[in-house]
Amino acid sequence: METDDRGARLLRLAEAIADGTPIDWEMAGQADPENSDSFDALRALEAVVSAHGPVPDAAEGSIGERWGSLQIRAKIGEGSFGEVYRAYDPALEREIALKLLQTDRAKSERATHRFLEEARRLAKVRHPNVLVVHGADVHDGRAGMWTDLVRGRTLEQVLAHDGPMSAQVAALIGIDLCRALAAVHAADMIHRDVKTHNVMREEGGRIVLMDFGSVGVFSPGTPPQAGEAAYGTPLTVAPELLRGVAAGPATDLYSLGVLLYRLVTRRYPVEASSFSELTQKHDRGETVPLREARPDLPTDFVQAVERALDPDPRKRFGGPGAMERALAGCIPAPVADRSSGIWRAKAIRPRLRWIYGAAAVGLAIAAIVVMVPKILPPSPTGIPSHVSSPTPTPPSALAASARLYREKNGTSEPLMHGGRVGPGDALYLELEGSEPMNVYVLNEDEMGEVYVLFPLPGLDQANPLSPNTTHRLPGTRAGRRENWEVTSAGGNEDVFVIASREPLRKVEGELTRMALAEPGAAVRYRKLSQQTVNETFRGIGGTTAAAPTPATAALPSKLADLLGALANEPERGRNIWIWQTRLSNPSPSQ
Amino acid sequence: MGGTVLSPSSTPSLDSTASWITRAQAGDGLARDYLARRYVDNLRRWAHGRLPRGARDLSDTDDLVQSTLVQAFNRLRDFEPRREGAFLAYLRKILLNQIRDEIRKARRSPEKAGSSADLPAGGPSPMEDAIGRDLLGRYEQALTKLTEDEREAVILRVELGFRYKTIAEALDLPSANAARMAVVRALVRLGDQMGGEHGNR
Repeated sequence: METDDRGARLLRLAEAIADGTPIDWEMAGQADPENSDSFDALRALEAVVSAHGPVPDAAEGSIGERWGSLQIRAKIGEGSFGEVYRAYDPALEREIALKLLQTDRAKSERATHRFLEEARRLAKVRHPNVLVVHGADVHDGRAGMWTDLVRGRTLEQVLAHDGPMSAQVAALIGIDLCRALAAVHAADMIHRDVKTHNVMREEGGRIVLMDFGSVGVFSPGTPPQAGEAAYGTPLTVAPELLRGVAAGPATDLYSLGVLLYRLVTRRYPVEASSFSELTQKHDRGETVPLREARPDLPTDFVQAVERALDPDPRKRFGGPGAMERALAGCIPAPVADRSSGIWRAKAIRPRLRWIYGAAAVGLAIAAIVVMVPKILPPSPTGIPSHVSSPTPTPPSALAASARLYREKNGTSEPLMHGGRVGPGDALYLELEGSEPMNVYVLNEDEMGEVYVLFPLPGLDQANPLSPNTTHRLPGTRAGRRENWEVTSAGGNEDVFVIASREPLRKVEGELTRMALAEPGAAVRYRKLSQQTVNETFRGIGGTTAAAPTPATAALPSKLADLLGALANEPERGRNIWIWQTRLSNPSPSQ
Repeated sequence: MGGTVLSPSSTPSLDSTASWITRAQAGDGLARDYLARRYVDNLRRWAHGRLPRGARDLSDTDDLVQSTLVQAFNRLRDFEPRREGAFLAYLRKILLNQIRDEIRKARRSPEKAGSSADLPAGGPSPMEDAIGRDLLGRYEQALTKLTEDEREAVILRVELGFRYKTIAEALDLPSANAARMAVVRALVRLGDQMGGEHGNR
């Protein structure tokens, strides 16, 4: 019995040593003076263990525990570098995602340093399609970072549940991810692990690139670093990485190509069960062309994906901006042919008039995400290569995202580029930007008349709009939510969303001269004179706009030409973000 | 979510660590890269504690760890990859031998301070500083008297700082708790072997 007791006591001490729990050796020795040798041995052993550094917590981030001031609520994910928890931030009174470095890695100063460095780098990227980092710290020897809690499903989960997607939906997701990558690359980083498992589709539809555990620093012009190849996921990494070449922006584009391929096929372009098989297949070019896997896909989309998947990185897109443009070109044109006689004949006067009226009550549940930018938001990686970086370093490109929705019977649906609308439809815009910005929503009809849909006098929302908040426009008036309402039919309408670091003085000036609308009454939208349009959009930044570029020349819109030229000017383009969509509003006879 | 380095979860056909070791044995460069990345932090930290003072700047430690990994991979054909724990114990053994070799070399030719890893002759390591050369020696000696399973459990938990869940995976044990009990029993045995203040060698 005594032997058993002694054994149990030694076991408890050994447990404490293994778990790193402090031991009161004086008390332990007094409790069992006859076995002081054994206690001395364990005491010596504890000294050896301590000298090796702290052992990881036995509890390992248990639910209900605190990390700093954050309260851990549930484990929601785990990877090679860390565990992710849903946690509560009592200071901000909201739930966040908390990623903690794995306890076994937390013992390594270098791993901790690298983890915090990842957080710091990620925090520099402010983009609606990139996970937002709020902070990073070390508590109780364990490094962690907290980020937005994105509620939704990964694209892999969406794929598993809903099956392969259409080219159009995949292209829309691809466009958002191109923008996300442009922002990441602009911060001199490479994601290195773009795949369906690492992209979330948030409830409400926003696409969010996450998991920067493999992120690398990219310094244009510096030689490759050894060992880079080990990052990424074999079936989704570019073939040059398998050969040990350093990762660069082109390797992210390859992975994005694989992601798009997978979205429409649920397969990988090169499938293998071992590394040797994988590298052999790459070497022999044994890929399954997308055209074979999905013969029904539009050629534009297939070509865009195949170009991203080119084994030669030099033959891929020059950057995310170029890939984004190619994907935008895959989106079907508006339903009607705008050059047809019918459309022309009907285009006698503005076809779509907008009033803003009280919205239907009820929470809007948005389905899918994106609208199509025909004019691309300026992205640093989209800047022509001959433009040298100004000194000092220019501000990063303004980043924002926008979606237009139709609200009907209390539910919302996103409107696609070329989407059809009709009288009685209530529309609204969701917009989020990475910094305070002045937002202008303009409508150009087929006659080339330009109207201002936002801002408007009398609305509760005014410029500049706050960053990192989803704004619903036109907004509220005296606390009541408003929509834009389609009041008549006929023709195409272009809707432009312009976000600018600086207010557009001329436009603001015209708006201040508008009369306030009575609540409930129809609003007269301010028509901008051609002079104002020209002066405003040629004059931003104080230079003359360049000639329209091929990217926008296809659009027969004067405003589109002006804005397109603007967006393609690197210096001015950095300070302005432009988004356009086209709506089809045919009359009943069409 | 969570960081991913060649995440096994996303590529079901390329999964267990044992299969990485097998692939590395077959000369697969990517598998070697993966294993090196997986263990380099733990090994570097371990080596840092055992190298004599003055020879422990990061580049020295990195050199040593890297050459250990290269050696380990070159000799990998002779190694039977029973499980990850055995592989780690094997890496640790090579690393320890390397450190001892370097110290011996430095002692033999102190004038060649610029050669190899610039190890000063006979300077104490942080581990020796903390617990003394005698106690560290007793510990190392006692470790050799344990069974392989016990030794691996101690090395993984105490020296390499793994959590129980990882140890369970590395030692083919059914749960984190089973791994904890394996570590605890191994520590009791290790204590027995080390003896009290004067040791029982």
